[in-house]
Amino acid sequence: MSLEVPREMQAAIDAAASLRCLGPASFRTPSQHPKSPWLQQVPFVFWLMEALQPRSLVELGTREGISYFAFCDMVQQLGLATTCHAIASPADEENVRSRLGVLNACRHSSVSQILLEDAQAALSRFQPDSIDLLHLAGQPSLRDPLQDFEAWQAKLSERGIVLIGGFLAEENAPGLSRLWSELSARHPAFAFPHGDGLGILAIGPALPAGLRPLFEANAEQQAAIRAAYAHLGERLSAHHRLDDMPTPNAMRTGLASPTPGTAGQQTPPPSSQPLGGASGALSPSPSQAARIPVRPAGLRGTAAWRATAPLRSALRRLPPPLHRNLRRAARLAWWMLTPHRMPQRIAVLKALRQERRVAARHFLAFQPDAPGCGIGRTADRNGRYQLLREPAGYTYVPPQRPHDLDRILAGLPRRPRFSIVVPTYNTTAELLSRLLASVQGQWYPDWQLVFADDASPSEETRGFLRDIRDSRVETVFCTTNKGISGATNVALEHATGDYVVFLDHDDELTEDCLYELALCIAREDADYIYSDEDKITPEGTFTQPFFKPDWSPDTLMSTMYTCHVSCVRRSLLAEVGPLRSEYDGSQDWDLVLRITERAKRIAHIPKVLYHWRIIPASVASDLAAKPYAIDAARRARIAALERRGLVGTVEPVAQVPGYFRVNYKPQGEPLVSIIIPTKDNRPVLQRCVEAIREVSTYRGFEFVILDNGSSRPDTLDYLHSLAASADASVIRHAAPFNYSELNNIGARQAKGDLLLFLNDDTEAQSADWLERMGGYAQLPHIGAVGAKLIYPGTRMVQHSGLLNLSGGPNHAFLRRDADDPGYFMRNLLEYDWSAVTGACLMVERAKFEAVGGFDESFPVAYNDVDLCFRLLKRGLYNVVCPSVELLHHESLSRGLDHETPEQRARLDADRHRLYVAHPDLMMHDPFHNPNLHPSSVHFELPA
Amino acid sequence: MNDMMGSHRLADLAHAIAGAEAVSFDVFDTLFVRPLCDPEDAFDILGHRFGIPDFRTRRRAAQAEAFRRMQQAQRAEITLEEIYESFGPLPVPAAEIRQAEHDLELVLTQPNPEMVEMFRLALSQGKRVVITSDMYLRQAFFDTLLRRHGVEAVPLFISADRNATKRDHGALFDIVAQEIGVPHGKILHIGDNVLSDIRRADEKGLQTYHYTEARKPPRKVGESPTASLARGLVRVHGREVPQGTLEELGFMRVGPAAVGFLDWVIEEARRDRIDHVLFVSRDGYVLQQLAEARAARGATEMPPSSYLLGSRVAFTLAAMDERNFAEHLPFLAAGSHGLAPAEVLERLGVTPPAAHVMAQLGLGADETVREDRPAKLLELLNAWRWEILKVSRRNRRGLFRHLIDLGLRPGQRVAMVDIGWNGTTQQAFEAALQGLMPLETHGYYLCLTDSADCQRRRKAMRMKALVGSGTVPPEQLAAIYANRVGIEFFFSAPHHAVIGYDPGPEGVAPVEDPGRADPGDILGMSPQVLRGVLAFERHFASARQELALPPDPLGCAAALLDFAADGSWARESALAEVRNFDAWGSSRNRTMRLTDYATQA
Repeated sequence: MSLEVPREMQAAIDAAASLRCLGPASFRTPSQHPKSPWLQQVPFVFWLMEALQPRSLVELGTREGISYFAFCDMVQQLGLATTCHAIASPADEENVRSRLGVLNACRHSSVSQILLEDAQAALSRFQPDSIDLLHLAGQPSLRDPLQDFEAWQAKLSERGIVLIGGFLAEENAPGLSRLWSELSARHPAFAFPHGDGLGILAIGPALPAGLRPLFEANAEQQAAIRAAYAHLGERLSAHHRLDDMPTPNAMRTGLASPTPGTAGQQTPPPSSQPLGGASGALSPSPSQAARIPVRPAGLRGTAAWRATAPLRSALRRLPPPLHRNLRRAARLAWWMLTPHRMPQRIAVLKALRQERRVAARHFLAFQPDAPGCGIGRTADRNGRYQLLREPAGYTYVPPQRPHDLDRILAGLPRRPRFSIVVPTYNTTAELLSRLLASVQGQWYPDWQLVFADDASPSEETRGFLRDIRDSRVETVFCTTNKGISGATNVALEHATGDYVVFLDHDDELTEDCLYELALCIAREDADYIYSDEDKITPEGTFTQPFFKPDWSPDTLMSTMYTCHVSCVRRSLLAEVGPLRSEYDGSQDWDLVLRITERAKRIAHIPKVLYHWRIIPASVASDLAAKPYAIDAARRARIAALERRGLVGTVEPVAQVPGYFRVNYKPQGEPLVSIIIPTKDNRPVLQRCVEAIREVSTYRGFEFVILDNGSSRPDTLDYLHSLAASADASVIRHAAPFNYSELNNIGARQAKGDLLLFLNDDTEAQSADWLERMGGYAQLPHIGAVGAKLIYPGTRMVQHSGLLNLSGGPNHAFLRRDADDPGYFMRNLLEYDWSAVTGACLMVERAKFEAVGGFDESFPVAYNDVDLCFRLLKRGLYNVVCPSVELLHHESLSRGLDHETPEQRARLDADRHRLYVAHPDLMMHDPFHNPNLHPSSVHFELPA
Repeated sequence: MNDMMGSHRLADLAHAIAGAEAVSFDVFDTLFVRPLCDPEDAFDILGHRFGIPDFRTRRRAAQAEAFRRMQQAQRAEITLEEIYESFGPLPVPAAEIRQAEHDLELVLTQPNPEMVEMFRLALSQGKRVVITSDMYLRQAFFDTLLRRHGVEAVPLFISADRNATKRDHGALFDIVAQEIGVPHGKILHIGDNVLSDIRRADEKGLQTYHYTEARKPPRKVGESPTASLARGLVRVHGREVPQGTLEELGFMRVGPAAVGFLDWVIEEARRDRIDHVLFVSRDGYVLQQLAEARAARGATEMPPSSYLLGSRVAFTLAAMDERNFAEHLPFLAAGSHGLAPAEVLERLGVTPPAAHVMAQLGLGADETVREDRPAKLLELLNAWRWEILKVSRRNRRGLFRHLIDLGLRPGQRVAMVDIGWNGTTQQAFEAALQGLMPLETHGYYLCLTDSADCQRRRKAMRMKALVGSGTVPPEQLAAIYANRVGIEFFFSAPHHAVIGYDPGPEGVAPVEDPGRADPGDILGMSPQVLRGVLAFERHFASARQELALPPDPLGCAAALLDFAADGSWARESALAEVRNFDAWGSSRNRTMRLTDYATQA
């Protein structure tokens, strides 16, 4: 089975993408692959969900939940804040209803609720003008679609969209076709005829901006959009038929194969290449394809199979043992008569065996007990774990306590004592009991727990604390309300341990938390330690794990990513001072900023050691709910800049309210030398140079053009004219292409203190790009600074930072929407990265020279990665400024398909050499996390 | 205990010496010994040296002819000269070979430490001490021999010089009694030969002591002098290796096999133009130590070599990823019968879910895995795959770093040296190398079986074995394989099985699996074996050099393989306490003794 994009479809996909009716989300796949015609609509609906970002979604007529759970999955995959409701008939069979409930509880309970009610009865649960997306699921349970629609129309918001699924399959829901006919005549509408058909109606008066191109497309454009999605739908179905074969994870989750360092590859790809947007994301590489077994289902299409249908039908009616024996005998006879087909049969049998093995996948799921049960039980003991045949989404599974725990502890070179400090205020006894159980259940024995009650009016709280009978627990009752910082500081005054662990009053430590902290302290003698964390939903399931990067100073200036668990050496805490009430709401962020300024060793434990309980309307559930916290967060960073003597502004992030980034101002007026290698590429180079001259507000730059032996007259003319200009010099170096060598020559000739290595096929977009990147590049702790590169004509990411994953260096968020937040805002905020692309890389000259410049033994690929790795090993951090945007005219379709076997071999050899030079970074990215999918460039969870 | 018995034996002799007025010592196999299993093996050494393949036969014939002539001349003894006069035509002048034999005997004949001690005891007690020998070599030879080894000169009674022997009528004893002037009954004669030293001396009224060497190796037909030397070396250096110890096993069994195998590896590596030899843990430990000992003495015949930390488990995990996980499931579950489900994960270095989670899944500590019902275990492994894969990635990173640290670079030819048996570890290693580091891997094995799996792998990979279906009969191969655990133990290292790698900032640390059952002092045993091996190698190398013997890998290996194949190794008292050696199958539910793995022939 070929998974290549047919040539004729490329144009359609290109067209749909250029109309902004198709984007990275269109290439996503659902976590589950239910067998259904509806699957064919998933690529479009994924796009729709991302474009619409509905606040509320309701599906009427849910039965097995095929479409509904796909919606929920999309909400989770896309990180949307959508609340989903399914209206399922209480008249459905019990097993259907039960399955619906179990699947919802296991996978989607954080975003979804199932209502077992008639569509009319459920109406009262929804406010008028509250639903952004209404899906009429097209199941037989939807008895009267027209009546249902009319009743529900009042609940639609002014940007409300209605989807009518399966309107071409009349047996699904009589009346759907008629409904579609009527509504599409009155409202903006778009229909997809593939699969069982899908209709989209803009019912609300305010047409959502993201959907405007869809509804405003002309006939030709509509045809292209339909063709594109018909193809993507069919392809997804094809994947479904290959469901769970060994490769699909890699195929589904984005680029799994290494990106060749990128910057040095100056030659534009041939124009007739297959479209890479699909090929990169969905097509297996030749080596991957070779591993996909031949699907035996292919036999089912043969003439022989069809001809024997009546016989097979009759056989099926026989008693099973007889049936089985007859089948065996017949098969044996047929095989003996056709020995020449044995090799083929063996291949099919192997594939079948493989399929069975893979198909028998299981997943761990956690089913919490009903809320209110099991008081005093930690979250992972308040329910049951089970093995499911379906993916259950993220599930925290506690680890086994080591059998030789005592021996391990006895062997530790240090045995720190921990003081766990907990400020309480009106905390319920239930939550306190769970918190207390989580501390008392610690494997590591040397701890002290200090509660500081902030003058809770609640007798329940005070009573619980008073009644604790444990010599390791100390409780201080404040007589006046001091706020969270004040109360925590009171607890800190009573802390006597070597290290302080902060624990919020409604959260839990995992049982291995202190043990892991102790191991880490023994191993690294760290001053400050943080771990991964997750959240407990109000229903008691685990969700939203945050798998964090290792210590990233710039990330901490963008977001309070270290968060929980947070453990600091008490002597260091005494140095930096306690929590400050003026930063309440973000007091922990302020503290960690101060701690990490002084800490000599900061460690990250890539394990979930802390469960953060989601309490409705708490900061955990909605940052925006507390404006004071946002302001405190901003002020904490301003204070950090002042303390550090750095000049910069803390400015809001356009795409996400409540988030801020630091814009460092350049010190002095450094000359930026923009070093651009080129060859016979006048139009491209000219566009690059002119864009810089036009858009840049910072004027202290020079061009250093490295001419790698141009011979075309137009290019030579342009280079002459450039050489004659005041802000440019041209160096001719007509040697075989060596990107590293060219750039090193350029750096030696450059006069600036800041070097900006730039590909000639880029086009600067952000006016303040030079000062913004320069401000970062001048920071003493920064190595390379990168920018966000975007494919022209789209908002798709070409570069937003490089990941060093299992298969090698890769572009994070490749082809994802540039404005998509990404995993914990990583696509929008300044994060530290292992490497940035050399297509646009700024570095201070002194640092560049200190690491020896580019390694010229990497002429084509990985030279930028190698440079960044060397900066990293020098203790410098590489950072990406996502607010600096450039277009990168590298073809969207560039990918594995464009490599000859020789190029591939060369690339492999270069990658081997990269890791021979940096064995410590082989399959290791300190700014990724081992708990995330090892091949996904989108920070996806592996399960 | 054997050693104590040996001490008792010699105590008896000392007592006898004290009661005698004079003491007569036989020479060969008593006061002196040759480090060979058969004295005639020396003829093979000469044959090899002079390029006469059938020299042993011809030398025997010549001696028989000399006897015939002696009897015709009615003399009592022959001489070396007469033997060489009795030879047929030789390609080399007979006198040259005769001198060579004389000189060789001088080199080969070494003091027997325990008897020299008795010899000196007798002298110190003021006894009249003499040496008596039925030998075709003359007194001058013995004078030189004693001088050479600093043994005190005493009256010599050599049959070739006296025209009288012990063996025929005991006439030599009469001469002794007469010359030293001590009555027959007050002379104690000590010798190894039942007829000449005991019966004839008894007949002459002497006191006698029948000396038997405790560790005299049996003769073996068709054995090369090199192999004979390997087995016979203990006769000369036995005092260094106490009887009944692991060190003795190292000297007598493991040392010869290890040296032979290493010789073979060196030759194969030269032939295959290997850049780097990797001795795979744990079986490669002894060999690596040998190689280092040789290198320390300045030997340069070997390419650079390293001790490769790893195992089939470590390599298989390093080869696993999300795409091929399902293919490896059978391996993960293999040999798990009788284990608690969590132990199946522990032996991979993977932390299992907490006990209460396992219990809820029906896989608690009170459950045991049944190989005929693996479904539940497979479900768990499947559900836990991302945790397993996390360990896989850590191991893959660590393996890469380890290879780099060992000095390996892409494109090199490496020999992976392992004891055996079917190439599974090599297969796992090569799978782990895919996409990690392209190396041309050659597998060198002490022994490969003739199983279908092994044959299939031999077609797909570069694999060679010193011992295999081409070198030993199928039944012996099967017997060796049946006793493989014992052999693996002998070659093993003073560390637990390496099941992974922890690539920390300071370098790679091996992740070891001590198993789940108490292995006792198993790690203290390997150094004992190694001590014996290294002592053997030191003496063997010097003796072989002095005797200019060619390598005989297979012959040397037989010292161990014969011992292992018939299961007799399991009777060694030193092994009685070895338990839970196999970490993979180790379980808190049971204890496995090493000797439980023995299969008697």
